[in-house]
Amino acid sequence: MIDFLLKLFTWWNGHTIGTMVHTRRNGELVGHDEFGNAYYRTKGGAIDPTLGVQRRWVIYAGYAEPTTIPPGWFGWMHHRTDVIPSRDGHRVREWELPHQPNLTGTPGAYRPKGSILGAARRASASADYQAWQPK
Amino acid sequence: MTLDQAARALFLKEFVQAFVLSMRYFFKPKATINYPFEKNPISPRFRGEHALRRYPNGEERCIACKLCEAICPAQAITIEAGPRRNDGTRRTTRYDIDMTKCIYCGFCQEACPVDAIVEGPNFEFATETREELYYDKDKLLANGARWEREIARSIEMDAPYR
Repeated sequence: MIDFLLKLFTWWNGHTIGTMVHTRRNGELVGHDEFGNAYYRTKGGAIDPTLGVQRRWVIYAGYAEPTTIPPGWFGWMHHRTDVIPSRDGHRVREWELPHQPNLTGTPGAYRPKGSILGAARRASASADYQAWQPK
Repeated sequence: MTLDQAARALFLKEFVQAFVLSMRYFFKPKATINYPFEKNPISPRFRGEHALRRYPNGEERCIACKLCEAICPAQAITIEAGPRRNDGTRRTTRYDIDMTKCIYCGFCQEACPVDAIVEGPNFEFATETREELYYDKDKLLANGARWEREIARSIEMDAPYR
């Protein structure tokens, strides 16, 4: 019930009713990413006459946060490639890290070393730079 | 008042014209996109958030030559090269970019001889506090490790034109 009300009155939780109707009528599911976001394009991949490219859209799992789109799907969403990430032959190196949405405003936000909100202390400058001394 | 003017005023000619024009645009296909659900095409040369890349074997590319620091017109980059590590390679001990100073000109990635500092395709790194934009080396290397897939794609797509 709360889910239905959120979809009826907000646009930032999953899809709105209008988007759902439009997606059912004109959309074609292309795939899902690891966060559960669903990616759609126009049926048959028709080129939109005003955009000059396909219309591609994403229905977010939960809160509509564009930084939850991971690299790979990011390229597909931004029309950098037409190949979906599971087929583009990318080999993940062992040093690559999993995608992280923009965590600003949460306790997981990035803090530079030396920030009073973070734990790490900033290392003092080396001999390259000298502090200015007033005479 | 001539008869012509009277007829125009009586039949609200200008209102009808404006209404027809707005209705024409109302029914036209829209060129706008519905961000964040749709996104616009971006170029492989797009200059977004910075990242420090690694070689495929995981070794850091940056050799602390400080060319990016020298060319940076906003002087947003601070590099300190420490003593050589025990493996004998030259590395930075500090690599800070003040993203609030950066003007996203892309000179740093053009200056880099080893393709270490790049401006990736990510532009959605807005923050709530100013200090979150003072990137240090760990943050830049983490960006490189998270965005390598798209950064490699940009370089591959742009390679025929360089």
